[in-house]
Amino acid sequence: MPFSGVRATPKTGATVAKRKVLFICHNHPKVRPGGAEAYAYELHCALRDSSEWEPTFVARTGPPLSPTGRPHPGTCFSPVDGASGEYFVYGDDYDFDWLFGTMHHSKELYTRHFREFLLALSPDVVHFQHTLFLGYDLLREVRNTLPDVPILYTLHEFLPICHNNGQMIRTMDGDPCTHDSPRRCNECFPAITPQTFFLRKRFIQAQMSTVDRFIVPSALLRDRFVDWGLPPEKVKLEEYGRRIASAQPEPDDREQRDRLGFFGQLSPYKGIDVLLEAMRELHREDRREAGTDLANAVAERIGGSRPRETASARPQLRIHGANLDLQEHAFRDKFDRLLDETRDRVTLVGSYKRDRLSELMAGVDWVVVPSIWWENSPLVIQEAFAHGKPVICSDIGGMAEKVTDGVSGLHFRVGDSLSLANAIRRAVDSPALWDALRAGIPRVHTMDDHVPVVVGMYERLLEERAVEGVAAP
Amino acid sequence: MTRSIGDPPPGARSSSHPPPGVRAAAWLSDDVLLTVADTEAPNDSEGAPNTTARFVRAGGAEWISAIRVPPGVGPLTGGPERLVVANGDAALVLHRRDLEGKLIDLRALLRDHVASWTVEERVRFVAFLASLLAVDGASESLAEGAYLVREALRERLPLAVSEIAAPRTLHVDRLHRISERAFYIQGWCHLGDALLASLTAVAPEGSRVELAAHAFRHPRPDIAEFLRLREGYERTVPLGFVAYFETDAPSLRRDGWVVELRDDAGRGIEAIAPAPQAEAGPTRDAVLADLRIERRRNAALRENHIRPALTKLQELREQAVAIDAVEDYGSVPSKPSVSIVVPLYGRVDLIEHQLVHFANDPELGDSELIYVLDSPELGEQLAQFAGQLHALYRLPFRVVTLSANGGFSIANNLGAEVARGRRLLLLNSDVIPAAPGWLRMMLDFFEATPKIGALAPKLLYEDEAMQHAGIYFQQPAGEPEWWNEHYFKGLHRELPAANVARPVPAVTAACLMTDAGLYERLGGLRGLYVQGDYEDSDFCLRVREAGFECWYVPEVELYHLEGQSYPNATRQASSDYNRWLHTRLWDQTIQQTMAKFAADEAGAATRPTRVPRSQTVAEE
Repeated sequence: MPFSGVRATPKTGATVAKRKVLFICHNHPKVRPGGAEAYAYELHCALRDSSEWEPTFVARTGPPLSPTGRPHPGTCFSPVDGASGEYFVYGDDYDFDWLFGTMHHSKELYTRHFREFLLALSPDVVHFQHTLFLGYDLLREVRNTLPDVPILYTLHEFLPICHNNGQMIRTMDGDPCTHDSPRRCNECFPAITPQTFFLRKRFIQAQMSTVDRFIVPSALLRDRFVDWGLPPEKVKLEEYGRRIASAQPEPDDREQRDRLGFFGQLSPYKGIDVLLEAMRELHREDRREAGTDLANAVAERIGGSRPRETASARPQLRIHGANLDLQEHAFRDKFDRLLDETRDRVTLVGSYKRDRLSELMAGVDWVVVPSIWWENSPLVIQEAFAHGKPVICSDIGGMAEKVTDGVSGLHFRVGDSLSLANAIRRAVDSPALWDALRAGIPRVHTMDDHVPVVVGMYERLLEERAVEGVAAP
Repeated sequence: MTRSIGDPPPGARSSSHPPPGVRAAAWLSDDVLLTVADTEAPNDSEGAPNTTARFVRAGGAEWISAIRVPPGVGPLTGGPERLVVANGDAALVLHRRDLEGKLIDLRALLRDHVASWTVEERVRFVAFLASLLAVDGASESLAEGAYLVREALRERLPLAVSEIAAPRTLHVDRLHRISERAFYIQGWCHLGDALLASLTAVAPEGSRVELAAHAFRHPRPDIAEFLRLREGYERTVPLGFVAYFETDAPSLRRDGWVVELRDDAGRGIEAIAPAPQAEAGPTRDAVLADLRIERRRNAALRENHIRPALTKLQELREQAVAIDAVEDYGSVPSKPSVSIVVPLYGRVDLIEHQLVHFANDPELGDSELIYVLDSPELGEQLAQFAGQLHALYRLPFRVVTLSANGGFSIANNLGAEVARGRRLLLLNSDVIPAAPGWLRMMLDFFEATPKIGALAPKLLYEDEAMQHAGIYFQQPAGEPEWWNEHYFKGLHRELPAANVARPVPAVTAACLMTDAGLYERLGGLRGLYVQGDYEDSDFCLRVREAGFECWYVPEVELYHLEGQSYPNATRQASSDYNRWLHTRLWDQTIQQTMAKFAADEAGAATRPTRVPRSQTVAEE
């Protein structure tokens, strides 16, 4: 039943009614952890404190991420844990077309359910954080239903460009990919014709033409999307703002900096297997060395020569992460095998809640981000920096953009476990290096920095509309 | 219709001087009564005759009348109250009670009154009954009756056997029933050293069609080997035959076709044909496959057999297809400037890919968008989907559902019939715009260009190569047939020579703008061609004939993701046929057109040279 859309008029002398922003996301971090949704929810929570803006957060729920069923007959929406201002929107995934990002048979989710919700809520701004499982069609429905409302879209990965899970790495050899074309995409997916990829691109771009502003957290994403065809004047670079608990703590007094930490999803894209292979390589090196130590000790005893320098430090790794169950069998088996081979060095801590992060960060000296895909702006890098931990990461994409080699961390060759092993060796063998890199860590962009920029975009767009006086196409 | 062989000779009354009037009567079928009567009848011309047809024996001693009775007065009711049987000027009145004593079983009538006739007379009589089916419509019951008579009276020849030692042999591989009167037969025959005198197809109801001179003979090396014929035998007398033929009267009965063969010494055999294959699809495929049996572009085969068979098939198919339903989604403009007709075949998902772009183009608002569903089995799926699409994209459009799959031409023509716009745009479902504003640009160009009959834009492949930039005609070296070629196909869209708006010999129907009135006057696209191809150039040549030009406008660009609708398997055979037919119909005009364009064109460099067709492997 459509809401009449009447806005409550403020009494004289009372504060002006808050303007409303609607966030739309593909998942709620309370249901499944994930970077984009974590940030989106942090932004929503930050705006709850605002005196001018009233945010509503809508997260899609349902398979494959959550087993929850449809909440009530006749509606797809239901409040999250009874809160007002947060909703789940339920969707089956059987009708969702992964290739085109659309609902295949029924558009009722948009034309009936979302339309009524939009009319009832009557937001002043709609800010998409994702359309996965919802469909790009939702952009059009918002434009149709709320012609005067600015639409923003924050891009977190390359899903509109790349059918390979939005990673832009090639299926045949795992190499990073720099640009799309119908032919190249067909090479990655031979069963899908170049014409179909062409249709996909045109379809997504046509739906996205309803968006007024795209926000990208990294120069990498900005450049890739402009290259793909988004109008450059619509694409704005603005880093994620973070509300991370502690200020940078004082370093403790440890002699050795040999504790590594991995924080993230246990998926092949995150390069966790590359890291484990590097640990295995280090373990083997150390054992060879141990053999040499013994020989030296014997020689010393016999020959009285000066003892060699102390053996190198032994790096330890803690893995904090989840979602192994979402991966394919082959990867899960590989992961288990590698974990077994490195059990002296590696501890699988398991999944973690973001509010325990500081505690967990205290237990590591370095944070490793070994992703084999480009990455956008990994939240874990900001979190590591916020806790004064230098980052060891792959030398491509968003990682290389946010971490400067030799200044705030170390790079290694993407996907190359030997290169990573060398970087780790270098890192743990020299505590002075750790101190220097720690000093080079840049200031983390906080939510207090970020919110005014985002809100500023909303206000500018609203002003533009007021000036034009007509609905944008 | 009466048959007689002249006046009765003087003194024809037989010695026994039988009483005048009807001697016997029998029901041939539920609606035809046969009466046997004397030639001389009393002059009783009370009322008009019911006689449908009359057959007079040689010698004129008696005649047999076939009387068509109205429905409801058939054998079960004892016949009509009153009948008038005519003989030229004379007529005989029968009352029901007169019949009662005379009514006998059909077989009895044949036995008593017809069986003793000569072979020739019996043959004539059977043909006479067969011809009844051509008059006043044929019924199954009449077909059955005629078949019974044929079987009772016909002279049976020895049955053909396919044996190595047989002096003569005959086999019918397939008989295709295109319609009640149109058939296509495939078989082979062998007469040793004798000559073929007659090869006659006999319909179950008795119609006879002589095929010996007309049929197309072709080698059957497999049969020659089976019969252990000497090397080179088929060079003089090929064993195989195919023929398209039409009967004088309709044939309704499936079983009972017989083919008779006679040699020059009068010796004959007969073969029972298999029950006719009556489905249009397999028949068309079989006829198209027969294009392969000719060695070198044999005109006789194509002109006398393949073309009439395919043309008849297409005609029947088009007649059978009608508009089943027209559904409007949203309010379609009642006086649109242009109507866009989009045929849908085999898939309906591409509609969304057009609408997502049309929705971003406000200029589409004044046009009438018509989707024609030529795959009616997808009707239900489309009906659900169309509503959803309209709700999301908010564009009005119409869906015209056809009663059966009619093919590209009829789908466009029926869509055009429903269209209300002054101008008409034929658009393929796999064409999507490159940018908004394309329709307005095309329309403006059309309105501004004098004597324009057809207009098409630049069409692109997904890799930015050109798919269409105007059509021209080319004969490969040494070949008589004209091929349709696209200027600059495969070259990049920005090629300067391709970006000149100009008149061209023809344009593609994938995106063709024309005047609705002109389209109607010319009869739209012609369904002569099989499975798409050449309808567009055929239309453009008729446009030229009517005194108009075809134009190419490169400023308008759309993508054409061609080849996503049709399966490739059957394209080759139908392409060959279409190309032959197209040349057959337009050779002179194409020659003149290309000569004119060669003279006008600013240098041959604008047209890419191509390797002669005969040296390349056939594409597509």
